Amino acid sequence: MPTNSDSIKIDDEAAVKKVVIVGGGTAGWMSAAGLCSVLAPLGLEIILVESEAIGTVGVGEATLPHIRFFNRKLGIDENELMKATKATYKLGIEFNNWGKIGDSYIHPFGDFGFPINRTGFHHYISRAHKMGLPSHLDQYSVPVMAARMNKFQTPHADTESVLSTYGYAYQFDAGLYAAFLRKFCEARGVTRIEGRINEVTQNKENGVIEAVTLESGEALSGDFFIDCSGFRGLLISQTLKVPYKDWTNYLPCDRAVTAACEAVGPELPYTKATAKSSGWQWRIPLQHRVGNGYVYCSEFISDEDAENSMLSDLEGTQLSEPKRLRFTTGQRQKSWVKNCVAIGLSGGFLEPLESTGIYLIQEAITNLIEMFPTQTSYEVDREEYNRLMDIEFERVRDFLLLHYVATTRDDSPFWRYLTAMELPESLKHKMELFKSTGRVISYETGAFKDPSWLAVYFGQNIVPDHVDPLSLHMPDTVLSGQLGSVSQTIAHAVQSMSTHKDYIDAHCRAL
Amino acid sequence: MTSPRDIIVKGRGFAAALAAAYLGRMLPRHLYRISCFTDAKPFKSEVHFALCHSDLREFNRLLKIKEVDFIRYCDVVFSVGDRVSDEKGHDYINTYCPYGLSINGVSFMAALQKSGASGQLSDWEDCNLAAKMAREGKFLPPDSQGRPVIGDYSYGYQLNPVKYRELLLQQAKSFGVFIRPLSDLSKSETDNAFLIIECDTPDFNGRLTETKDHHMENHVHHHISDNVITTSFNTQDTRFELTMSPDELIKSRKRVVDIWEDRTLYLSKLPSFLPFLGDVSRILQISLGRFLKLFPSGETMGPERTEFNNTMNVLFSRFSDFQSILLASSGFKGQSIDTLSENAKFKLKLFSARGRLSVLDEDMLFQDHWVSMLLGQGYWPRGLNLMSKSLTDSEIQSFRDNYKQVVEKALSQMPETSDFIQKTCLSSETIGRDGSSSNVR
Repeated sequence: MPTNSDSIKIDDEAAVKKVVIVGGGTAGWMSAAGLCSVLAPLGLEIILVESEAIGTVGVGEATLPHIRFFNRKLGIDENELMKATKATYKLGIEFNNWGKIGDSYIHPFGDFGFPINRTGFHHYISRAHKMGLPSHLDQYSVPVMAARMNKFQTPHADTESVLSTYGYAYQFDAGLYAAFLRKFCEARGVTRIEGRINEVTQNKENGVIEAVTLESGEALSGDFFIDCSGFRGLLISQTLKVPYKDWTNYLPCDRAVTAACEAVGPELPYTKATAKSSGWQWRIPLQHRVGNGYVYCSEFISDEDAENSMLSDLEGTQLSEPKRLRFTTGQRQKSWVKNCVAIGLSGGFLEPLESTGIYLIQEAITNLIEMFPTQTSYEVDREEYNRLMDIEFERVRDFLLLHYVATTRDDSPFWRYLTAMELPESLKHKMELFKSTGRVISYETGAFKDPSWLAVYFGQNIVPDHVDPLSLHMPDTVLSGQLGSVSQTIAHAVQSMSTHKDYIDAHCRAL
Repeated sequence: MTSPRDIIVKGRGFAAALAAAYLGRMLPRHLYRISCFTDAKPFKSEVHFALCHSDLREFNRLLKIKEVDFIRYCDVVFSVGDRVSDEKGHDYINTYCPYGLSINGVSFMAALQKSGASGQLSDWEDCNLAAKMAREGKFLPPDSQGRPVIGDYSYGYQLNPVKYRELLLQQAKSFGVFIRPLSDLSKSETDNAFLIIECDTPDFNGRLTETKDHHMENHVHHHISDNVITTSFNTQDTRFELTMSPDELIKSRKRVVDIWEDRTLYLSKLPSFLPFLGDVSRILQISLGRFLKLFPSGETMGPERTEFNNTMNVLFSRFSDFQSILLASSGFKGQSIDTLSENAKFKLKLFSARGRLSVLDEDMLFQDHWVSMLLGQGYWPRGLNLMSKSLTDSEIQSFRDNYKQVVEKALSQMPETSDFIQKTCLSSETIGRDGSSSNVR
């Protein structure tokens, strides 16, 4: 019988039996939840050690639609989650003042229009733009129109319906999400240990991590370790000395100041990201408060001025003291080294402009579960994991950078610095191709597909010089009517949706 | 109103006809005037276009070619996949669909590992209706309602490329393409053209034997033995065997780089023979599809050309990796694991470890093609995917038993391939034998 490999051996001796997660917070508890739902039934013991004294950054109040699939895999009831995390629904992100001051567009979780004659809808929009017809993309997107009208309902199951053409995510309290997952995990046998780690023991011969020791003197041994200790990277950086790829040359913002305020008016089903003189400010509406933060570059504005700027733009009464954060945008050179994988901020940080924090955690967990190791080294799995995470980080990086460079803003040193910046070849080529032909380069892997790139290109005034010749089958005289018909269909459908508030009241209002 | 830009499609044979029909269908005539300068090539030179992947079905729909007409005119016999065998004992069918369904959310691959199976993919053919159809010579198109198992497979074609060329030229003409003999092409026309599609693809450089035979096999068979690849296939009345030695294969697999230069797309640089999964014609289709997606709007074609060449170069190398792994594991002369590309080596290493397939950008082959090939060639994972531990042996056995029943029932209701063709769409030349006809489902 022919074979090119050894026969399969189910070697339980080699199985990883105990995982220690260092750090709670969103990354720690998401990792614990993912592992315990899939691998605990197979006998995996999971221990999570965290210290209330250290606290968490609480990254990622706004999310991407992918999180729904993660929660669904865990078997979490959406309405329960919404109530517990005081969440609102999210149809996209509104970007203000990015292409130029006064501009506004929404990057929605859904398509623009429908392909006509096998040709992307945006090519018809480009034609309309050149003909002087109404060409703002907003009116051709259900989630954008719904967001603008403060409407929400979950997408229609019938894929023929125009109300099935979008996705949605959540805007939630990340601290409450971690607490929700903690309860979920503890009910499924995850052991939480309170304490600070003051020592990490490595095998003297191969450097593999053997145990972490708490201040109390308790030693926690494990076969595998997940570093969710945040920026400090207790295991991946301080112990294993894995270097960090610094991307501040591309994304120069290095600080943030945050504060919560009361909401004024109804909860909006979208996040806002408003460009400012030295960075940008987020506004994330939850059921009980609005989260705000100014992400800025310390070379161009002082911490005090940034804080004042952020506070002066709060729309309601301030509810919490400003909290300052420092970060270095970039990625760990290898997220998985020996028997340790870094998930969350210890693995890398990209500013939350497109709400990718939790998405990157989720991808890391999904990949880890799929390639979950045995004690017999699987170097090749580690290599594949690191390759996939590199792709994810780099593609998100390019997409974030697009927001900063697709602009005519030159009203401050910050924006002038960005205008003069040398772009990564990968992004430069993408932008040139789109400008020339209207083609979007998209890949199988990566968070952002064609509609996301189109939203930013068009939203920030990059209209292609030429269109797909296939779109030219449609005569100019017909174009206006066709676009009008799409826009009317969408407007009519959105009109039938419930308001965001009514939907939350009916399904998931927190008590 | 500006006058239309001239596009010249130039070359003998199949590729020019395909390009002319496709561009003629897709590009607006008021903007582009397409002229196809072409002559026929003999069957032997074109025979490598006779094997077509299931993608051709969609391509024909796009070109408004009715399947029943196509089957009759081009002497078509359906193909549900490629059988690959070698003197090392590998013998499996690579179909156009996943090998098996998932079991309770656990992938087929993981279940297969858990079962402790090793060695022969053919042991699992009861989990793949198309593979069983190939072994038993049965055929029905997949269920149009997409019901599980009976709607989960696809099919390609074995055809007469010379006749298909004629059909394509007829279509091109109906789309307003000017068809002219190659000798008519003048230098000034070439110089003034906006774009030139150079289509004189290399002739098949192996050996061809043909035998009159009305027995219709519903799959292509590649056998690797004594350092020769023999590819057998059939149209409705003829059985063909193509043979190729290592030297001939190496010559035909020359590295393809940057096929779009300046204002000319050189389809003529495509490989002359890529056995397995009908891929010469498929590469041709993909090249044209990508070209249209990046179709230049102005005289400056820089970013479009760069993107096209980058993605096509990568795509060619992915396919070359597929072939190289297959041939290396069949002991084909000049191919060994050591000479594989770094990507291919990594893919093999990762799969051999625990059955994970590394997904890379621009892979024209479906993941299922890779999995079937790797398992079929004996690369059975050494380690276990943890997910598979959640399945019990009895769950797997029960799944297999149920699946087998469905497959057997489906097979029992299928006619022999030749009977199906006799009853539905026998070609005009062979129709005298029977006379009956009806539409393909």
